[in-house]
Amino acid sequence: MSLFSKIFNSFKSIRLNTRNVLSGQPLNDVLISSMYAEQQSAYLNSYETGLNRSEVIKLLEQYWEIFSKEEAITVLQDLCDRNHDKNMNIVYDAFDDQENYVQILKSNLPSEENSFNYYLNVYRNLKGVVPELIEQQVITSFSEIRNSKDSGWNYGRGAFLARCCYETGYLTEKELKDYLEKTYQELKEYCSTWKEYTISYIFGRAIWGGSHNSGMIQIANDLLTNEKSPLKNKTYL
Amino acid sequence: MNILFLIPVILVIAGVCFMVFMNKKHKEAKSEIDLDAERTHYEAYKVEMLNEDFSQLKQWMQGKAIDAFTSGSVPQSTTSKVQEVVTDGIKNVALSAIGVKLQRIETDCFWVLSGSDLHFFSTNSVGELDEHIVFDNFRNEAATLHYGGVLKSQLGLYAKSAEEYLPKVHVITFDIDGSHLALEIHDRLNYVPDPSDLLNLKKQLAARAKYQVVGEKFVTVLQAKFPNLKLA
Repeated sequence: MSLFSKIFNSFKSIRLNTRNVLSGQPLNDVLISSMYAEQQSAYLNSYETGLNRSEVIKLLEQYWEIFSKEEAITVLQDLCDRNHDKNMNIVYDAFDDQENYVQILKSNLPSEENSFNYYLNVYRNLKGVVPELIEQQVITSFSEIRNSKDSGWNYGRGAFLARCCYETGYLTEKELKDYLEKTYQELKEYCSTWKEYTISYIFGRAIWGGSHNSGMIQIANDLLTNEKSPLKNKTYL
Repeated sequence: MNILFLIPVILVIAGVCFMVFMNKKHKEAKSEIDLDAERTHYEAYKVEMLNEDFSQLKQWMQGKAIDAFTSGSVPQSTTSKVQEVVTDGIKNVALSAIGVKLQRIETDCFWVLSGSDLHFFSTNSVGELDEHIVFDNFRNEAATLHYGGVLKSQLGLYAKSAEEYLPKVHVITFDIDGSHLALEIHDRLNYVPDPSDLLNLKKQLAARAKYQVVGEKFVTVLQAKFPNLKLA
C-alpha cells in the first residue's frame, strides 16, 4: 500500500491538503519546506505531510539518524547553524577571486588539516557545480548565489524535517511553529524572493550531493509556475 | 642483355644517392641550429606558438593567463587503472571524476600552467577539445615528479636515428583523495611536419627547435612554482 501510494503520489505534482489548510504567514513559514516536500510528494500547505507514518519514520531514521527528540533538535539546530559558518564565506570569496584563491584559502581558513580539507572540498565542488548550473540555465552568473549560498537547501530541509518530527511526536505543535517561524526569518537574510530560495536549494543540493539536478530544476519550475502551487503568485519572502 | 633488368639497379642506386643527399642536407641544416641560442628566444617563441600553431590553447583557457605550456600524454598504466576503477563500480568518486575521462591515450594532450593551476587538455581524433581537467594549487603541492625517459610509441617501431626527436617525459603523480593518478609531461611540443615541408629539412628542424624550446621550459617553470616537484 505504501509503495502504491508513493507511486500514485509521484504522478501528482503539487500535492495540497484540503483540511487544516494554512494561510497567511503560517503558510509562508511552511512553504520553506516546499522543495523537500515536493520531492517527497508531501503536502505543501499544511503542517501535516500527508505521508504514511512508516515513510516518515524511515526518512528520519535511515537518512537522518533521528531516533529521539534530542537527536531531532540537534539536527534541526545544525541545519540552521551551518548558514552562519563564516569559513564558508571565505570559500565563496576565494571562488569569486580566482586569481588569489590560494592566498585567500591559506590565510583565512583553519590550518588544521581535516578542517582545511573540508572547506577545500567545498571550494572544489563550487568549481564544478557553478559552471554546470550556468549551463543548465539555473543561474546566469555566480553573483546570483553569492548571497543566498546554500541557505535554501539547509533551511528547506530543516523545515520539512521539523514537520516530520512533529508527526512522530519529537516536536510539539508549538515547537514546530516556532522552528518554522525562525527558519523563515533567518532565510530572509539570504533570499529575498521565492525564486532565489528554489535556486539556493538546487545549488545546495548540487554542492553537497553532486550532479543530476534536472529533477530538482523541474520541481522548482513546477512550484513557481504551476497554477495550483501556493508559490505561484508569491514573489518576495 | 635486356635493358629492363637495369631498372631496379638504377632505382636502388638512385635511392641510395637520395638517402646520402638527404642525410647530408639534414646534417647541414642541423649544424645551422644552435639550440642554446634558440633558448634565448623562449618568450618570443612562446608568444608565436600561442598565436599560431597552438592558438586553440588560448581559446580553451578562456582568457586565463598561460605561464607555460607543452604536450602531454596519458600513460597506459593510468588508462588501465581508470578502467579498473570503472569496472569496480567507481569506488573512488574523486578519482573517477577525473579519471574516467582519461581513456584516450593516442590523441594529442596538452599541459598549461596558469597561476597556481595546472590544466590538462585531451583532444579527440580530429584535434578538438575532448576533456579539460584542472589540478588546483593544493593538488599540485601534494604531487610528485620523476623523470620517465624517452616516450616510445606502443608499437616501438621507429628508427634509432629518430629517437632524438621523440619526447622525453616527466611523470607527475597526483594524490586524488588517496588514489594516485600519473600523467606524462613532454619536454617538447608534439611536432607533425606539414606535408608541403617534407623535403624542406631546414624549415622542419627550425620548427622542431622552437617546439622544443617552448616545451622543455615547462617543467622548469612548474618547479619554480612548486618546489616540491624538483627532482632529488
